[in-house]
Amino acid sequence: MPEPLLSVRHLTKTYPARRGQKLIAVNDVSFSIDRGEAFGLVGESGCGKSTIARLIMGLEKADSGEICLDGENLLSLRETQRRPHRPRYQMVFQDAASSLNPRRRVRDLIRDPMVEHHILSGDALNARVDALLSMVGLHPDMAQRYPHEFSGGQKQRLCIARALSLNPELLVLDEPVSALDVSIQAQILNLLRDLQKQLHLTYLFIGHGLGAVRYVCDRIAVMYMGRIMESGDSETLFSSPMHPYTLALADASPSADIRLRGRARIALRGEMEDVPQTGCPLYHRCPAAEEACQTRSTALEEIAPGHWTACRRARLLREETNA
Amino acid sequence: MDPILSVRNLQVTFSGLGNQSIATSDISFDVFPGEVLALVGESGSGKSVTALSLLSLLTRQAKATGTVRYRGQDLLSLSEKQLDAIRGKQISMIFQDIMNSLNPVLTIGKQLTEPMICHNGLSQAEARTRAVSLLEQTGIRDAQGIMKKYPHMLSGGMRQRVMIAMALSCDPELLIADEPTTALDVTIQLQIMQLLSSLQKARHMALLLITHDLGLVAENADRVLVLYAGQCVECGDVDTILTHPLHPYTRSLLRAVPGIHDARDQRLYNIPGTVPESYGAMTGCRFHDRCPYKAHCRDYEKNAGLLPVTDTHLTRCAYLLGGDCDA
Repeated sequence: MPEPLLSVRHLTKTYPARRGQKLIAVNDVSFSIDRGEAFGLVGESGCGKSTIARLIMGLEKADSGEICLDGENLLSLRETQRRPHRPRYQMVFQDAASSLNPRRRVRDLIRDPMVEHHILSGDALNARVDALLSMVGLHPDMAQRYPHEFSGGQKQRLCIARALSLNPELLVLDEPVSALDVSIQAQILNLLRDLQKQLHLTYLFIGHGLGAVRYVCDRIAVMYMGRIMESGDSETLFSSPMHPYTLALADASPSADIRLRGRARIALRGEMEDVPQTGCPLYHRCPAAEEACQTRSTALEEIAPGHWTACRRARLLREETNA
Repeated sequence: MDPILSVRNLQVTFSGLGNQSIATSDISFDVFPGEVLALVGESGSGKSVTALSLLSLLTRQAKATGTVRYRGQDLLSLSEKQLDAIRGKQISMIFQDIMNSLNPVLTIGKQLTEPMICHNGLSQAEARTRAVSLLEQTGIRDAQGIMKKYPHMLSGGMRQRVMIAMALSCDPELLIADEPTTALDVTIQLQIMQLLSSLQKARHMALLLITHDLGLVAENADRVLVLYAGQCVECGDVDTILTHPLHPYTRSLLRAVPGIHDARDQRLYNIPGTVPESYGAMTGCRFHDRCPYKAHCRDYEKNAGLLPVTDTHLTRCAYLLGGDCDA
């Protein structure tokens, strides 16, 4: 088997909280993404998915763990050693408007990374900007404009063009469509799918809309309170979830399919709370929880080929549903 | 059955710096007792402006014309004082922005008892007893404790429960919910929508649900109005609109949402382009530039009103109504 392009191992990040306590934002998370694969991280706000993106990009410092790009642990490198690797992984943020400097023209915005990394110069540089704009569905003439002259969807296209300027292998997409209207979302999702095929890109796609993540990604991991609860093939993860949290998340996602109206749904009790980090973090909300879930650890277990779940009751629940 | 709220030809115009811009035009609908009517549309479609104009909650730069008939009176022609007697009592509202909808320096108890003291003349003690009961009805376990807290001490879901308790405190006939769950996570959204729906049914209260989410419409509404560029483009009962829509915008929108059980190899439908910027002055079809039937439609410059498909289903597209629906 070839080495995965990105491999995250035992990644942990904590922040100081009140009264000398620690907030564990990312808790011993491991996953890997093969070259050319689109991998999704889903979960509700505060689950740690964006922190993972920021750790990979080096925007935050991890407490422990490894982030390996092609086998090389980025976290063990000094900044000067890491810099040559930076063009290989680029990021697109949720808020396109605030990720574009309002006082610079589009041409400069897209050119900057290439100038910084001495990729191209002169006419070749301008030609490359034109090509990038066309690649994301914008007209090259727009290069003279300022960001405020673009709509929300177009701004996100600009961010994508800029992220692609250095020919990255990995794109980290942090909620790239969450701020956009439905009709514009579809445009950007289709663009991302096309670009991935065309340029053989590898994606880490972070989102909270299950439909959107599933549309782009081959595999998905579901996070809750800093941990991966379940991961698997995106085709089957939401149709046959093994973890009660995945099931609840899928059930809670509104569906415009009128035939599903009034369906039986699993509603989680209460809200995400800080709970002692022993046992299952979902314990006090879970409809399937039993006494032992409060104390027993919940390591990910491969319950079917490629399908991992961190619920100790998953096997049992599965047998019950099959019976 | 007579509607409790009847809106006719509602037009909202904003003026400033010598310019006038028309935000919504020609919006007409009825709300019947005990029903859930959804106004659905993307940002800028005019759904919130419509909702806010019903109770004259828009800024002074906005001018609403048309009629909003409620119990024999036109709400648009009432004075502030007359409106105060209706707002929060017969018609109340909950908002999307749960962070800023509660007063940060007053306790929940103080804020929750105020409408009942003002509108219903309850004593302090009576209002408190009722407030606790309302909080319990919204699924808050420690209602007594919450009464003493300040908004910043509550989570988003809890704040929205408090907002709902407050909106229901005077037993309104109509609740206007403007994107009530947009700021919440999906598992909390489900809790809040289930709560709203059960309270609405138990009280036989009408609910005007403003949302951008067709999923919430499908799951909660009886009837739906689809708004695009400040106009209603289609309305009818929710089953018809979501399974047999006749307007190209409604059709396109439904095909543009990725579902979690859809075939993944099927490409999402792209609605090309964006909403026209200054649509207020447009005479013909406002969706024409983005319409999949653009090449075939000849009458797009004519101002099509809402046309009946059936008794209860109206559409603004004359082209598809004229046949050729499967093209």
